[in-house]
Amino acid sequence: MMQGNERAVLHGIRVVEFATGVAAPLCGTLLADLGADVVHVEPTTGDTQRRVGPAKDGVPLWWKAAARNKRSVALDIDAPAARDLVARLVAWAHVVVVSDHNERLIPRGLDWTHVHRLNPKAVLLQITGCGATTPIALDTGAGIVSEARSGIAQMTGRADGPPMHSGFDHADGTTAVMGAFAVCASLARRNTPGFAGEWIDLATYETLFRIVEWQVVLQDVTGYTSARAGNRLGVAPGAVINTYRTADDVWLTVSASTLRPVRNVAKLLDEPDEMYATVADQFANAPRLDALLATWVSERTAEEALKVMAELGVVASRIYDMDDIATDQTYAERGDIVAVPDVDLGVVRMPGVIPKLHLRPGAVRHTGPALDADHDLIFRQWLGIDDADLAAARRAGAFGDPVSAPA
Amino acid sequence: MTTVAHSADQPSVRPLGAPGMPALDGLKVVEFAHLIAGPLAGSLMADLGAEVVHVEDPGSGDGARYTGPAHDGEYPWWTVAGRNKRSVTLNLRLAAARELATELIRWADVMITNFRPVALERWGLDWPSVHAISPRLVMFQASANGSNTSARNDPGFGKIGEARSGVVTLTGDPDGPPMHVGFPQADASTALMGAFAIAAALVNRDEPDFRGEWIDAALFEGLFRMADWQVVVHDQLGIVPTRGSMLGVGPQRCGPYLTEDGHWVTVQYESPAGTASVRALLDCEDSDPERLEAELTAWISRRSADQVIRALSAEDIPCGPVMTTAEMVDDDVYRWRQNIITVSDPHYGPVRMQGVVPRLSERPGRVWRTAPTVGQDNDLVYGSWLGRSPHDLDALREGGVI
Repeated sequence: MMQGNERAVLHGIRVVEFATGVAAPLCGTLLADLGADVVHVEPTTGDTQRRVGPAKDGVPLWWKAAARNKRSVALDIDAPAARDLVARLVAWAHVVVVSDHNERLIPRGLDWTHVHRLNPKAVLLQITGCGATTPIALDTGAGIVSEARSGIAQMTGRADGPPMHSGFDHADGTTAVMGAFAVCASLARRNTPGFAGEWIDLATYETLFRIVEWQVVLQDVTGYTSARAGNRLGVAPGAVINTYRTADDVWLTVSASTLRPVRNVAKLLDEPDEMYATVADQFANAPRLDALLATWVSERTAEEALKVMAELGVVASRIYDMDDIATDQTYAERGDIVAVPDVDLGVVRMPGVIPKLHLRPGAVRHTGPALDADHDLIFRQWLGIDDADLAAARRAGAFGDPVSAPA
Repeated sequence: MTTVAHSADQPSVRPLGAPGMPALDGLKVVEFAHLIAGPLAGSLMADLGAEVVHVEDPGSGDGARYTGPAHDGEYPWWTVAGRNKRSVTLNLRLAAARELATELIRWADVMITNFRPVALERWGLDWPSVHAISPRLVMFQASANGSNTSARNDPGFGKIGEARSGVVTLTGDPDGPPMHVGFPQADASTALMGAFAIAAALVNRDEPDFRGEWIDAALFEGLFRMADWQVVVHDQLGIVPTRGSMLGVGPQRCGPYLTEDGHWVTVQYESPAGTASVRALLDCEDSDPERLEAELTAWISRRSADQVIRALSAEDIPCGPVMTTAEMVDDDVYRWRQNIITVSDPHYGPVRMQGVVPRLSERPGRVWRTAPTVGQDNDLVYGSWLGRSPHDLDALREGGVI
């Protein structure tokens, strides 16, 4: 349907998003990157997410990457006149993505019961802070609040310091990928007899909670409640894992989490091997080794330190910032940064398609669309709605105030 | 009804799943993989009903069996990490293992691996080899730097992947060192991306021209993809985002804040509306964000966590407690979502762990077993499924192959 994505693995999959925030729309973008046709339905004033983050000459930047590869239509989904168009979009789609609690979706006809009745084979992905049907009084919100609920904030930070959050949308990002997995897992069987759609009810704290696999079982079996341990893994206390500053003010990560790598660190620091022979020895001497390594790194430039560590089998890396990423050979060889033409910015760089598929790869075809850029394409061509019906919907306010609505 | 022609060199293809069964029921997965970045992808698929065979070194097995704190001579983490899977042993270093590896690949719809590219080539488990064995196989491969780079055989350490993704330089106090989060973040993100990519590759599996798929992941890429804005602001504004700057500009203001009763609470109020709400709640006239942050910190420090959350929630300001595991177990949301389940384990008896995420309503996943012992399913997989006789199995055991 869309030009240029015929080879991509999700070519032919139709997705409609009635969603905002970070997690649900990023899920749509991941699907679009792999070739799905994704329609982002926005309020007639535009998704508030369009304006989040820094701008250049009045052009917000994040949207260009966040909404890439998607189509935009403006629709006032709360207007009675839009009800039929919402239904047509749902009937058209293989996948419907929403980001609200049931209490807000039921009046709009976008909860599972309504969607399933309109389109019995639709897969509905519903991403919320605390669950689709959890009593709304318990819902404390999504985004970074979900990191706090998931357990990862309390296990991140110095042992003697406060809990800490990630410096990016960690809960939202992981939720988006988990949502994309669930959607595709559900679609894998869409051609089999008896397929009756799917409702994926995903809360934004759940993915992080799930992937820290030890949390519940250790607490249950041993009473362990994962405490903060700085950069070392709280559950692997014998390891030497930390960030260290070099003489030329570069931060390095050194990672030695099992017996042999820790012994390599000891060798680097001229420590007696017998002090680090067993897990128990390494556990006892880990603070000593960490302090010695901090001094050793601080007396050398990053280049020197990395060279010597590599020779002795100590695994370490510069901690990359964007200058490092932009000039790194591996990133370049992977094609992990792509330059995409953009009507406002000329050319804009952003992450390439990840994950990388070999036979039917995805591609970045265009940057985030202007508001309502695809009105004609979607409503006339894809849904086949005739001009008279569209004009009637416009007069009735489906596209917002008829006077100010885009032509 | 989908019908697919069978030919001698193709495994039989049956539609995935019977009605009422989990979403990935009938899907067959073999893992030549260890630790986290590969096997967690398999776990997510096993939770949704896939039949996953985890191939381990004979003897001690996967190193993940001995990770984390021990209790009573056992490692509880593995109980969860290996759940819902079959364990077989195979010494891939032996030439005699090649035939069984080939049969497992023919049996499988999906292969997962996170060994170094050089090891895969040595064992005939690289993409050209497995694609020749099974033309419809979907292969997910995770390595430090991807299999097509000059650094392809670097050791695959998750912490190094984190360091190179950009997210570590973004995490930590503005005046402190860069911080890694407290769990294997790059490994887990790679596994998540892997599960997505595998499932995406399976979506059009019943098309006549389906020729399998090769997914080639580098450990830094999943996190790098999620923090997409860092590339754009660097490219367009020349900003090098660093710690404490959300989206590359302005301070990240979300706490956590310490309450009077010693709990930590996260408050997300960075949006203009959120800032206005906090200002109104605190009756703060000052337009300086630093002053507002200081007043909020002080205001929270004079109240209990319950009071803070109730007051902020009443104003629609997103906020919530920083939970410890002990608190999760007693939490109403976790209980409502049934996120924590009890599974019977041969060693521990009833043991609590995470339920299945994602939650599917029509064909939900389930947890049917805790982790198996090393090689527990050798007889089932090699005998019943691949048709080796008891005599053959004895010979393989004696030869140290399994």
